Amino acid sequence: MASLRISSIFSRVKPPKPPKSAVTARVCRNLHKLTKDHVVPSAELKADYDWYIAMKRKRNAAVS
Amino acid sequence: MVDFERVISCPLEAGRNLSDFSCGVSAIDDWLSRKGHVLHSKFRSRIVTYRHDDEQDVLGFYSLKIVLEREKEVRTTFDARPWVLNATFPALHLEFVGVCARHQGQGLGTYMLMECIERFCMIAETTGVPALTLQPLTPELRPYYAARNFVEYGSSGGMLLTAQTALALRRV
Repeated sequence: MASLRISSIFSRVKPPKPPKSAVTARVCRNLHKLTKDHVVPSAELKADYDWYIAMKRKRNAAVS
Repeated sequence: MVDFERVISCPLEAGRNLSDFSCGVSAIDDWLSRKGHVLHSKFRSRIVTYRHDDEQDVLGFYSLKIVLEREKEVRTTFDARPWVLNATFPALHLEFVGVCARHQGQGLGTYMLMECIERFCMIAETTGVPALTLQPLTPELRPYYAARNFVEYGSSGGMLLTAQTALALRRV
């Protein structure tokens, strides 16, 4: 009986959650924002990068 | 005129004359001519110069170095947790970019920035450095970098490009 009572008390105690500070929570939100907003390269960056690659290929072709 | 079929880049060579280089910004020109060789040889900055393959005149240069950024400076824009050590994380810092005044407006600055990003991709991929940072010289340059995925961070007016964005650029 006693053991039953103790187990029922423990069943009501929730396991402790890992500590999650306000900073961690904010960083998690920022990570989501970062993933959402910044990972896709902008059209300007893409255009510049493509132009750079094209110039580099032209240079390599001219050398070889 | 800059002829991109003839442009070569190489790390600053010992003995390369830099006193004739002028991009029109005295802070950059002075830094390059007075400190360029010393900082480069001591590995405190690494300078890459650009010239035509059959000429000796430096058309442009950029300098890169590894810095430690304070994590609290980037919390609002960037998740640096995986790299944080003693409240700092490593970043590749684009210290200076300069194009010779006679060759400005021909795309060399953009070409050098893209090569920086390419190098940053390789470094990020192989070492995990999470961000390329820079400090725009004038406020007028901010929209240029912002349009190219650089985001503002911290209180010093710096901007950063995340490794995720740079690596995504190579995939798309």
